[in-house]
Amino acid sequence: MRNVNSLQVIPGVDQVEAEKKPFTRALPSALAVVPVSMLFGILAYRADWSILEILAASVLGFTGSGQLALLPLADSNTGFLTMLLICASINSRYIPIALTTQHRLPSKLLSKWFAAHMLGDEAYATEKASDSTANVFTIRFTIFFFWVVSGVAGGALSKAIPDSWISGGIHLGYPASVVLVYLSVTQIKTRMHGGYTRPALLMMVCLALAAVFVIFLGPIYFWVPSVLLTTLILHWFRYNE
Amino acid sequence: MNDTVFITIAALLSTSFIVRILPAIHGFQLPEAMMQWAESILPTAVFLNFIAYIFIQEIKVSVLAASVSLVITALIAFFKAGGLMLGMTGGCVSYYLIAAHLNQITF
Repeated sequence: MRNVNSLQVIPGVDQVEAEKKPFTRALPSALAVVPVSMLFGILAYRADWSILEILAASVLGFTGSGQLALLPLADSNTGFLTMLLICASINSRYIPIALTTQHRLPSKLLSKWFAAHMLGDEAYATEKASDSTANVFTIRFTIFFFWVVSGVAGGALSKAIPDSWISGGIHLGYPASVVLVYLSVTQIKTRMHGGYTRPALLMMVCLALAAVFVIFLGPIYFWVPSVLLTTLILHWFRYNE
Repeated sequence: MNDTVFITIAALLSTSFIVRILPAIHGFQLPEAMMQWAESILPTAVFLNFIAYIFIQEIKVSVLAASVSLVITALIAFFKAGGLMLGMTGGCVSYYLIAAHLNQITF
């Protein structure tokens, strides 16, 4: 019932894209996170982590940017609470995302925990409100699996990768940024369709405000206030135009 | 496994529990009207912030390469001029070509 309502809220869903198999839909995102995860594996291995430790961090600590952020902190023997505070701040954006996607998860407790743990930016941007639980699980697991395998592969290949690739200016994380921008634009286009009289102008204003928040509050602490303000603006214009 | 690595993994796992597992399993159900709002307006706000965040982070590395390639990616996505693979290829190829041209990549 909720899925039917969700479809009514979000008109103009790309049926062709939605009808693709979930694995096929998740594959480009999964491939895009490979260099980022490999980078984590390489850096961790060079910081004297074993392959088993890289595997454990990728499986249990699947947080993308959080993993990369904690590596230098681990190197300087930072305490648990400091690490938790920093990592939770970086990933605080997942709280509203997890809340609003909870109905897409399996009903069995362990599967539910696992599916919730595998939630990532790329998976969230790939999923659709009309997706079945199985589709959501497949999308999340595909990206999670590629992330874990790539991290371990990065560690294993660490010695074979030239130092210049890491320190010489090749931006290995860029494909993941590109994929996230692509998916975000398609999701915004779908959701804003029909709800606003001047969507392009409104989008530009929201983007500019969010950019100001990033610049002044920094990339860690801008998320909550900026998302809240953007939500209020979008809400106000949706019901007042 | 040494203590530092164990603490790091514990912090990562705890983070996942706090920000993803706990909100998803606590069973709190929003009212239907609120749910529609949360499924359409809130995600739009999150995605707009993703874009702003990525743009600001990437222009710190290379203003021209990131600006051009992200605009190309956004246009391909907006006009559905191909799928995600084409969008990713267009964005990445333009970025690395411009960065290489500006000598921001050393091989």
